[in-house]
Amino acid sequence: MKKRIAVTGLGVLSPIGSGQEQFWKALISGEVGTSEIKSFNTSLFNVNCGGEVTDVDPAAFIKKLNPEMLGRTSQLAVAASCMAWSDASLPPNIYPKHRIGVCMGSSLGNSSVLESVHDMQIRGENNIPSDYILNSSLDTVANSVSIELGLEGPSLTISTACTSGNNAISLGMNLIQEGDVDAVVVGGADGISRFCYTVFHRLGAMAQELCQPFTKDRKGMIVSEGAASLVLEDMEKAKQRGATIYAELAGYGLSSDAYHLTAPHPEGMGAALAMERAIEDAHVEKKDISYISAHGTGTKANDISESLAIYSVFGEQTDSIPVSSIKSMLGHAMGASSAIEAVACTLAIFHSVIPPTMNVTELDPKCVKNIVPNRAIHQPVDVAISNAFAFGGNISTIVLKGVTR
Amino acid sequence: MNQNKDRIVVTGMGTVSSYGVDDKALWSAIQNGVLPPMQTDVDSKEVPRVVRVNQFEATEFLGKKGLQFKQYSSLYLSVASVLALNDASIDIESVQSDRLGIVVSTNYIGLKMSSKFDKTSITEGPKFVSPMQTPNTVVNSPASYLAIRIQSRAFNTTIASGFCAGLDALGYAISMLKKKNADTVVVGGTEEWNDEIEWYYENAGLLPKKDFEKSGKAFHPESKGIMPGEGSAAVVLERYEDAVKRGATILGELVSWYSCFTPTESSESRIRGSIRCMDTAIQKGHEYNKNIDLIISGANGLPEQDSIELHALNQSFPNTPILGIKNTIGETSGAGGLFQLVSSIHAIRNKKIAGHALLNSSSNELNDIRTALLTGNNLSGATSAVLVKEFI
Repeated sequence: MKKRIAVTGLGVLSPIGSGQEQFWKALISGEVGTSEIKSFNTSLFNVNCGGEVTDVDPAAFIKKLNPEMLGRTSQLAVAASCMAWSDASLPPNIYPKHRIGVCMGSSLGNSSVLESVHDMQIRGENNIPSDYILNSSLDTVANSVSIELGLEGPSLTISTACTSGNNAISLGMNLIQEGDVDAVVVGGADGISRFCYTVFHRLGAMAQELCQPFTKDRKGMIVSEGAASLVLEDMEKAKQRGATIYAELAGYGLSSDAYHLTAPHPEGMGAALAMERAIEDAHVEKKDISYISAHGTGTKANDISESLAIYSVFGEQTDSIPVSSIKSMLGHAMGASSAIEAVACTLAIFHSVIPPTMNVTELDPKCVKNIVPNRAIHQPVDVAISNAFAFGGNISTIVLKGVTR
Repeated sequence: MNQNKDRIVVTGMGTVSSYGVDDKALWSAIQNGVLPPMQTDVDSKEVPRVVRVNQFEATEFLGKKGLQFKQYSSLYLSVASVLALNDASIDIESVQSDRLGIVVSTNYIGLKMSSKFDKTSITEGPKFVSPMQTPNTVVNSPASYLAIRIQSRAFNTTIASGFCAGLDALGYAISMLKKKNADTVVVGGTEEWNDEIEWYYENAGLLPKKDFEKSGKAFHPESKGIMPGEGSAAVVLERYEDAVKRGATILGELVSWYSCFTPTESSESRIRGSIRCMDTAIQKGHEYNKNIDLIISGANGLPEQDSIELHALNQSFPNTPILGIKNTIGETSGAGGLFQLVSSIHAIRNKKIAGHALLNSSSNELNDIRTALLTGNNLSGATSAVLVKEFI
């Protein structure tokens, strides 16, 4: 019988607030954290809206490495992981250091390093420290977390674009279930990125002001940044040590559309497969699903595709399941987004509150209908599923369950 | 209890390297310790060596359609993977697509286009970037192209854990097969050499500034840096029972994977970490150090890293022959672990390596190889190991 996985620590940095309490309070109040981008000049673009972490300096969490030599993404990953680690309150030496791993997802890596190098080169500054450049590579995202927390288990960075967070979470689950580790810090991070802004600007996928998932007149997505980490433990061991168990990570499902590099399958074929697999892996019944955290980017193609997938999986039951997209408040934090959404689902289960989809006006008749418009719902959440889709047709769904307290 | 239940086997492999689209030619070069030639610039001055892919024409293997916006790394991966599937006698037209998965190891693939997008955006304006190149800004683009080409729908994961990425991708694939998340998994590593990656290597301090002839040589006391390489290696993995059921030729067994991290820069700690990693991989494979016939090392000529690995190997395997393939193919980063696996399969099947190709120079020609341990060390303290065995 496979090991059950407990979620015992949470950390998050987001445009609506950082730290579990601040984040949750803002989330269920429906605060919108996207606004005019401050970290780079947007005058060349025809949009200027984005989501940035402004309430916390992630560099302040870095004690062992030189924060000036780290990119924004590594800083965010470390900060979120330190928060989650502290929240988990693991007694010293409860697990050997080599039995605790780190799995982080990131789509963009430390692109801030390259972008700042480009700015320096334009200014004629060429004396750039080699360590700074070395730290632009993706592996430093997970490795920085391992160094700061002093962990000696596997330290792995996964990069599957916008599903990176969920993929890292599912890899962490595998490591515990296969007996490679007792606990693992999992999550995702991506710093605000000028090249990423350029990508979505060129694709014409960005909204001018608001992200309005599932709304008829939605204009697109909003690029943002953030990070979230979760501490996962073998459920039995977590119970033995009397840990606060926020939820159970019950299963995951992966798939690939194999259809198009930037567009989702029009009928949501891969998305439906991932949800079916996740539900099967979690050994839950579809009728027991009490909340779906949608990928919900606010683009025409994504929201319709995801809606069709949800309808194909849940059939007539669909309209009775609340579906919300917190990207309406946070924007799309790329590889971090699904990790942040995993924290949101965990807290939804823990507090029995479903976060809203904000900025909703008239619903798109082609989309799911029960989208928790503009106001959180206070009701028990027994089982939540969280979807993530990405460039290349990558899809990852996780299932979280309540734990009897 | 069915002891074959959890066995994972290799049933196909393919490579794109400086030795052409031919894994046997590549192995012949490695087996005989071939060194790439020195390179010079326009003034006949020696420059750092880079082991580039040659004799490569993607259209021969992929046709002409849909190649226009693919980066070389994507082409290399697609060709190596198609060859591996052919080698495994798997017809992608008849395979069940939602049971076919992909794991790719690569580190620098998005670098060229993301850098170009940013530079163009701040100098000319964001509308001057090509929308057709947007998928190439992210590191998982080779995996995405491959998924579309071979219609893989089970999963499509890209691991970017530095020099350990290839071995970690194999570990991931073992896990996914054991969990039955797929029946067939293509695992490929790929990297390309381009101006942005060259800038990165040079400015990150990974390339030597002089003595290019000695550099890039694993465990060489005077090596001061890497000899970069490019290319792709791919393998097809299956559960043993499935491979037997369809009558596949089994090339070797992928027994176990493990990875460790050392969160300090202390050499002693990193040596201990490296030993723990190798020991755990071997224990997971129910083997003993004394039964390891060959180490295929990830050493690449970076002095501090190589020194750590050499100390660890000397302690754990004082008499075991060590093969360093990066002397021949260069440091292919995310692809390195897959090239190590392909080399181990050839070593096990051919059972012969020239003595001078081995890194411990006292070794005579090696004539009987049944079990190989693949090792990798990353700059920041990660170390990974994979155990490969002759299939019996």
